[in-house]
Amino acid sequence: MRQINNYYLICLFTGILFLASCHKEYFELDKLSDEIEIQTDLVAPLIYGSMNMEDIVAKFDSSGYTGTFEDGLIYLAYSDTLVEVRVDTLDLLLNELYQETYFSPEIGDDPIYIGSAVGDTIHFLKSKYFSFQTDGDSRLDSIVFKGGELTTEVTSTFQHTGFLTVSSNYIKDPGGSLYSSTVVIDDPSGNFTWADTRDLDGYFLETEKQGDSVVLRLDYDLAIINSGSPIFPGDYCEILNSFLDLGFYGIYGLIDVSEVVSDSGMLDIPIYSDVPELSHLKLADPRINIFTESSLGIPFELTLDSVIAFAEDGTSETLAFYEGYPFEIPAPTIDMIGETAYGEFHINNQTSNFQDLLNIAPSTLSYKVQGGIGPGSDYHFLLDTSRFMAEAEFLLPLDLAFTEYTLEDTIEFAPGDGGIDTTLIRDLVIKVNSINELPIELGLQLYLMDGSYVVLDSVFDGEPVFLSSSEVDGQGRLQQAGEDSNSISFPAEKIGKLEETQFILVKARMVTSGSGIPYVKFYSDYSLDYTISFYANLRINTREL
Amino acid sequence: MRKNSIVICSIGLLFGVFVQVTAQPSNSLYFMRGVPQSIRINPARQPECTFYFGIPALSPLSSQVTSSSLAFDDVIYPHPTEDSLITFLHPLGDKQAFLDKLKPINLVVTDVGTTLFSIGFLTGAGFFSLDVTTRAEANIYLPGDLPRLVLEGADDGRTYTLDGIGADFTGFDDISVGWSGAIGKKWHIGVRGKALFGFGNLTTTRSKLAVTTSEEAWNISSDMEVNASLPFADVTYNNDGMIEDIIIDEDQFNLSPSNIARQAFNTRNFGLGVDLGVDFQPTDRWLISASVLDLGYIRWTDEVHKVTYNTGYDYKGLEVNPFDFSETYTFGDFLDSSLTALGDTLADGLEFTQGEAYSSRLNTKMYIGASWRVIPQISFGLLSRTDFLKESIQEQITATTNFSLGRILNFTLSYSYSSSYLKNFGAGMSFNAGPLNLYIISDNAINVLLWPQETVTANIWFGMNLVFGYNQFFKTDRDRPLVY
Repeated sequence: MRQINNYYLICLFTGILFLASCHKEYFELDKLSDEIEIQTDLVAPLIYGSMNMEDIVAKFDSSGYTGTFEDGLIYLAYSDTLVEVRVDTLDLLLNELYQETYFSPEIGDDPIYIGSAVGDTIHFLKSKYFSFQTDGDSRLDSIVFKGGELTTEVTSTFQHTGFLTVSSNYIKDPGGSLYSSTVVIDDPSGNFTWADTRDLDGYFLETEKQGDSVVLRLDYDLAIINSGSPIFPGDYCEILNSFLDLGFYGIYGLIDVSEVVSDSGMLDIPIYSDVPELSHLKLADPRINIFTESSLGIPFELTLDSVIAFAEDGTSETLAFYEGYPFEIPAPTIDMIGETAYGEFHINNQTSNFQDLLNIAPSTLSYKVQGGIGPGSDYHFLLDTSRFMAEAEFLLPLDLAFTEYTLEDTIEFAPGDGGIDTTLIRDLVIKVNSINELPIELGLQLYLMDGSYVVLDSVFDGEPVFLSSSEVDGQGRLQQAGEDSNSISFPAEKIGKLEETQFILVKARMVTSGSGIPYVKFYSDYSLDYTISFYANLRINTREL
Repeated sequence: MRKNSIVICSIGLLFGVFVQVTAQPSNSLYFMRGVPQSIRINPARQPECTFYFGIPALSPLSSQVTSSSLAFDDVIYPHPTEDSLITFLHPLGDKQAFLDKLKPINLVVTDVGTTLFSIGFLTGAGFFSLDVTTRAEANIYLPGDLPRLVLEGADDGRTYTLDGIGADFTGFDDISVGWSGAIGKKWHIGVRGKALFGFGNLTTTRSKLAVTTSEEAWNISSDMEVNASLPFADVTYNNDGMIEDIIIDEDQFNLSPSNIARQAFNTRNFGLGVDLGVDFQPTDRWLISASVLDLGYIRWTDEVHKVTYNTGYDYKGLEVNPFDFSETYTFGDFLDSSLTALGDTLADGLEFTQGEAYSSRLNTKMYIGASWRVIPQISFGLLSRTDFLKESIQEQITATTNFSLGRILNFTLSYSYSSSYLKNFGAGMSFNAGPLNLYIISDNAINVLLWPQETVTANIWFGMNLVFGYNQFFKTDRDRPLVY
């Protein structure tokens, strides 16, 4: 019995060992493949965010051209100085006022002289006018000189002594005394010469209107003391007076600007030809505001005639003003010397048909600008400190419509030196959800192109609306945000094309709500919310890493 | 070959399928004769000798690993057409079959131990035993949704429940004193008291973790707490309260007896435990018994650290405003800062606390068995074993056939149903030559030999004792039940 048991036991253990040897293959780990491959799905949110109009505008407005009205409506504003004049920077010197005066041999025929005894003093009087030319109705009443000088040169060949007095009731010194200068002729040899220069700074000149000119007068009184010598033919006394380098502290009178401010011409407006898409842009309320500051005592009136916009398609539109026209540029009155007067002028829908001019997408603009004497005082003044500035503010509220605006650009697709490794991804779907309060519909298509700009594939199928516009009410305000969910599918075939892609052609099409028919407003609190998530089917194989 | 090792280690680390020696009592030992260490599995037992002395480190030396879900061939198997092996992660591997094997919580339960000193002797008051044992237990808890998340991916609208993820590692020495005695002729009772000295622990105290994935958001919610006692390491914290470094104390490598004793019997990590057993023999042929092992705990106070991770985070993507980018702040810069911020946010829930004492209990086991002696040389036994683990209760049923070929040789054959695996065939053999006693037992010996690739549980006990007074039991054994 025991032998039989042992026999069975031996057979049992032998069999077990034999069977165990059959499974050796499971444990030959030197034959274990190290290849691992995992195919797995992955869905996850990628990014989210929100952009409001304020952010968007700020991004494209590095120069501060945008702002918001109190109600949040965004506008574009551009200000520039049209004119800035400082009188002291102008070269307004009065020069070349020159006059010669002769006392000739006729003196010898003068009965008083003939009847005079030796030692008698005989006066000979003359007056000379200095003339300033004026234009139009301009009138120069008075000047307070700033610098300048009056030179007097005297030459006498009379063999008599005497004295010469030059005076003027038109010129006063800073102390208020009338101008007078006396020269003693103390050389009876017939070779007397004399010269003098008078500094006129602070002198006051009062002029007199004569025809188209204003004049001032100098009076000459030549007194000869009879020496008993005869007066020969050819003897004379010559007086040369010159006003030189006359500046002014102030000029008073009436200044007619019509001859000064007068211009016409044709302006090119290249923006519409450079960006033809802008021709689809209609602005509801474009505005130009002009602000003036003047310390010139010259009120004037500005008229714009024949302002006509011409579009490339041949249409034209003439600017017509409804109110606030012509522009009367205010100025300080004579009792406001040294002060500044401010003016403000508006060109907008209420005052003109300016909107119509812009909305024909003009390529040229003809104009004629004419200045005129403004109503009010006929007494003008001009100080050396006077200043005039006109600033224009172009204000474009984002209250607009465009039927179509397309952008097209080719951008380089450079994922890096090693290119893009798509071996891990079998399928990729990027999902973009958006809530759009902006009244813009965006269509988007991206084309993958190789190095020769050959289109390999498009990212989207067809021409999808990537962002639906919001709905607006009759006032162009937000009524209902647009919501979209777009899936961008990259199956394996398309992913493979990414490896060949070197350029991406971006085509974007934009149109405002309601197919660009109604005007829509852009408020700063409008936002575009977005979330981007992805689904990827990944295949990770250690042999391919 | 190096790559293969990497693959195996990676898989092992990922799924916890690695072999480790353990000290879980072998079920086949329960009814086996001729093994003094049978008192370990039922303190009511009395070895059939008057004195035994266990050879240090070999009385017993044992190992076990139990995987609740996966076997070797769920991970590695032959290539279908070539002479090579592939893993389930290979392109030709069956990942779905692998995932189908997973349960909501997948356990790898191990422990390891060896007895440094073991002695037992019979007196008029009963049988006394004294043991000094070193044990290490490791339990790894792996939610089935974790590999699903990796292999199937993060699907839209799915919640991956990772509750229970974690690990427990415990190393301790115990000094136990056991006694068993008779109450009347039919009853034997036994008790063994244990003083426990922990030398290291990591306990996952709380483990709630869930990840919900969708295209809108990923939600990560967690309520986790892990406690650790690391007397062998110097843990330093930075100013943010985060662990900066862990340096193993060089004293660990000082093998002086005093140092070993100090580290092995660390009174700052002290615990108590008890094993209880009872045998009832209603007739000569029947024996009904029960035992409860490892009722106890250890209070960890030495170099204790606590890590908690509480968060409820919704990741909705990275918030981007494209207008923020500039030449000085690129998308790459944004990505760097965002990912850093994301990491910081996730790390915000992480908190380290030092010096907070805690307790951990032992893995308690309960045995209930019955045996029937056919003839003096052959008996049959049926045993129920219940493991009370932290996250679950595991049940095994073992049937044994025990053979006694006299004093020299005893052996047993067993069949166990465990871990939903039907092919657990075990065997054990005890050999006596003079005072030398050798034994080797495994609940899975046969199936490890026949179907090693399918095995989900494997254990082995090996022991060597010097046994005296054995003959007198076999002389009188003719009038005694086979199992006693």
